[in-house]
Amino acid sequence: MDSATEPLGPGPSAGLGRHLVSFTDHAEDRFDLLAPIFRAALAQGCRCLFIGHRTTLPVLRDALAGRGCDVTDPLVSGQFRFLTAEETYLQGGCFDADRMLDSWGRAAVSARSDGCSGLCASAEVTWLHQRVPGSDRWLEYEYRINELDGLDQVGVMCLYDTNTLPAWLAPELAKVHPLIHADGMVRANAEFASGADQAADVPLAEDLEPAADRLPCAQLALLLSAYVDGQLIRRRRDEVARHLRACEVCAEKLESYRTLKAGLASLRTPGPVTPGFWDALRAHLANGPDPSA
Amino acid sequence: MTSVPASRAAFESLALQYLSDLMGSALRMTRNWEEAQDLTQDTLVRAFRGFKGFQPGTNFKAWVFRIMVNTYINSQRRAARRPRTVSWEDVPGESEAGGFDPLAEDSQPEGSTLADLPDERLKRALDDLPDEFRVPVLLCDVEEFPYKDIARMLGIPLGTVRSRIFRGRQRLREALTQDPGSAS
Repeated sequence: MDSATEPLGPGPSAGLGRHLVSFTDHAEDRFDLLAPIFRAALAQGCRCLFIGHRTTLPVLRDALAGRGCDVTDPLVSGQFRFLTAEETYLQGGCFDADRMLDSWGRAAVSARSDGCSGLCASAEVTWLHQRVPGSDRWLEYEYRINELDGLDQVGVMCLYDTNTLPAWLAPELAKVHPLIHADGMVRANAEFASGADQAADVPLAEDLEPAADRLPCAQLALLLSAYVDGQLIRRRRDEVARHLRACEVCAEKLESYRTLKAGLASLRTPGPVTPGFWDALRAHLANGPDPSA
Repeated sequence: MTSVPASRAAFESLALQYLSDLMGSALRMTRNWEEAQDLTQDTLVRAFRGFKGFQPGTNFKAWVFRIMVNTYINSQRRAARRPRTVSWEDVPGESEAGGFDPLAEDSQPEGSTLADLPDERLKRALDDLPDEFRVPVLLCDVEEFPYKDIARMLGIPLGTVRSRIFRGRQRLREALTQDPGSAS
């Protein structure tokens, strides 16, 4: 796909108004990406926000300054903000996807009401591998960032450290980001799965859990239910299929879900509509205001 | 004879196409013929009012069902007249956030068969489910909407849709594998 392989630029404004992912194994590479983007964002009057470990701020400030992005004054004025994971993702000791998505919405509104032209944010999520409660919804959360209202005025750069990221998770994360940073360039991401027709491949909550073929049978029941609906990502589907080939108990349970689903589908019957109902409804519509007027 | 404005004609054409589907679904949701008619009418009146926001060529059925589900939920919230209709707020312990334990839900003996279920028993078991499980199951298994559409209709995350459908089915299986004689 031509548009998916066309480089959008080496950095600066390419990360604004977009949801971008980067996989690196070295902090210096992450600073190389962040510095030009934050510099451009600050010059354009955006609020910049970085969420990290509390010890990260001095390191980040020096690394950005060394790359031509001095955030000393913006930190004082509030144009550049630094927050910790505990203040954001992990409030109350757990990750709540809905709460965090709401927070992004509020942060964007707050940036605009403070006179900023947009919000440019980045975060390190090294806590993700620590199996924090709620982190099993991380992929769902990442996908739903794309559906945030006003994303055109918000840039979110997700920087993953491959030293701590489970190997299987990177391709799943790639699917939920429309842009990817690689080899010093920001590109449209060919792996990005968008649109309702690919909804089944949007990773769901189970994806930070152990592989399905290693789950105890009873815990597999939740996956079996979604399996019957064709609503598991491909990798999960394959794992469940492998488990089913080796497990009669789960195969029987699957059959009972299928029977139940078929029985429920048979309840789908059209409702009786009397001519009087339709006539009354038409009269009602005719008497009301024309919505196109 | 006066001409019908183009927007109303377009709306009526689409509405008529899905009218019996809507009525059927309204009947399953409300379990009451009069309420089903009211719900269908309210839905279509609201849909017409918001028709300007509908993008031609997109999924009208999903759009209008979303309005119907919202109308139904709001009417239930207002009326709160059925004891079994519970809050649509997240149920404690349900979520993927850690409290939900599928092990605890899965105590049903395998081998008990659901085959050859009389429709009436299934219908009754479905009717007895609390709304927060019944409506997602209806939308998934009867109306055949994908999880993503259901999440949008109900305003809940995908993961919650999945767990509610799962828990709804678990309850149905439990109800249906009980001795029919002991069923209420």
